[in-house]
Amino acid sequence: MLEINKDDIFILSDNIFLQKIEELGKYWVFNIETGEHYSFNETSYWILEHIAANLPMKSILRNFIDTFDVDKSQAKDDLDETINKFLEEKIIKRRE
Amino acid sequence: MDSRFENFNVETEFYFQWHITEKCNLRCKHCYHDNYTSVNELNSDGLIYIADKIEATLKRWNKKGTLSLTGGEPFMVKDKVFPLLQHISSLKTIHHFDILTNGSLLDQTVLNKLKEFKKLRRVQLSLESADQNLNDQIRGKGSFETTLSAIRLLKKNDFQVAIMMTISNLNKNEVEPLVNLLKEESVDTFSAERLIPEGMGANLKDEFLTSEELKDIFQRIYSLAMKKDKIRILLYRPLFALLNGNDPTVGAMCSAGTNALTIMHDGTVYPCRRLPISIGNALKDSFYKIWYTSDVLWNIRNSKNIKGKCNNCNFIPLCRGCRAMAYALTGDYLAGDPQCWK
Repeated sequence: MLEINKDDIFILSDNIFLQKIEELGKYWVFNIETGEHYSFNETSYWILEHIAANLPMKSILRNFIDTFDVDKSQAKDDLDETINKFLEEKIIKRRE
Repeated sequence: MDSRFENFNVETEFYFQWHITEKCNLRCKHCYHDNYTSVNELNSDGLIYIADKIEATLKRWNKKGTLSLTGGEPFMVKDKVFPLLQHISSLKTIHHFDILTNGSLLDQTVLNKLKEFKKLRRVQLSLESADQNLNDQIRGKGSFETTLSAIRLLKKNDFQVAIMMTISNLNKNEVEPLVNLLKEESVDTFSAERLIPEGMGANLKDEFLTSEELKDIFQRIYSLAMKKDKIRILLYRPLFALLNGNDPTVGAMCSAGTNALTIMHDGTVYPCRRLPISIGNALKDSFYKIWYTSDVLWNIRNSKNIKGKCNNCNFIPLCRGCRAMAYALTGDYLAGDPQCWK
């Protein structure tokens, strides 16, 4: 698993488009080039929205702890795991 | 409140209505077109390019494709329609296609060519009444006889024939006589579409039906359908579900944003032909981009956005009203269906 540093900034990959219908608890990620689409839970989608806002990992981590009321160590592990999954699926990429 | 869009893959079929030209040799009073010049009509290369895009998209989505090819009058551009049909026939994802035509340009030579296309399911024509004068008042002088001749020629050549009627105050009492005539002519299916006051049809605002009048006609059509005669009466339209929500063959959710797109003569894409809001261009944009990013489609998909009487209706997962009717009458495609009687 890739080590995620607090100063890392990730961005959405090209052609990735986020969409949600919060009232229905539905969260999707679309690749408008390849047609791939994914359904996510609210937490994963929350992370993607923060990545789309170009926030560094340290800010996302802080907001994550505040929003989901988890301790810092657990939050870091959860975020790292999720970010790695997004990288594997090429939904996000590291900002150069 | 629920939504048919809850599971993104809930629909296994995807339908394209493709208007390859706006040119037409008729000027029906209710027509949703009001311009027949077909400016920027795509050439055959453009049409084939879009057909290949359809194939790639449906393959990615793992969906069974169905398609209606129409116009204008599609046989006004014979040089394009036959190569396109040939190409569409070769597409693996297209399960079947229909041709929607006024029938006036069909002859034995044309039918001989159409016989080559094994995926051609039905040829759809239109009649507005069993009364020649009334039909011709709406569709133009001579069109009744022309259409009957086309039906007979098609049936003689073993094609499946569908007839569509656009219902308004002008022909609200004509459903039963027309269905009787169609049975005599061995027509396979009958469907009725509501007059939407747009295009040429905008001039027929005085002929627009009230909710109660529409309810009466839909009930009569439903009764005809329940007779299970040899002619199939299709009820796949919003509002029919109000008559029997327990029968999945009665009514259908508005397909806009759910499982259909309309492509116009210049490649412009609409959610539905009767909802003429551009959401992209099939020549320039991927269908993925159009389908995934259109605000119009997303607004429609979230049933909580639908306003008026539709908003709290218990039929909304089955119906959602006609978004095109809402748009034509109120300017807001999210308004409640103005013709709903519930």
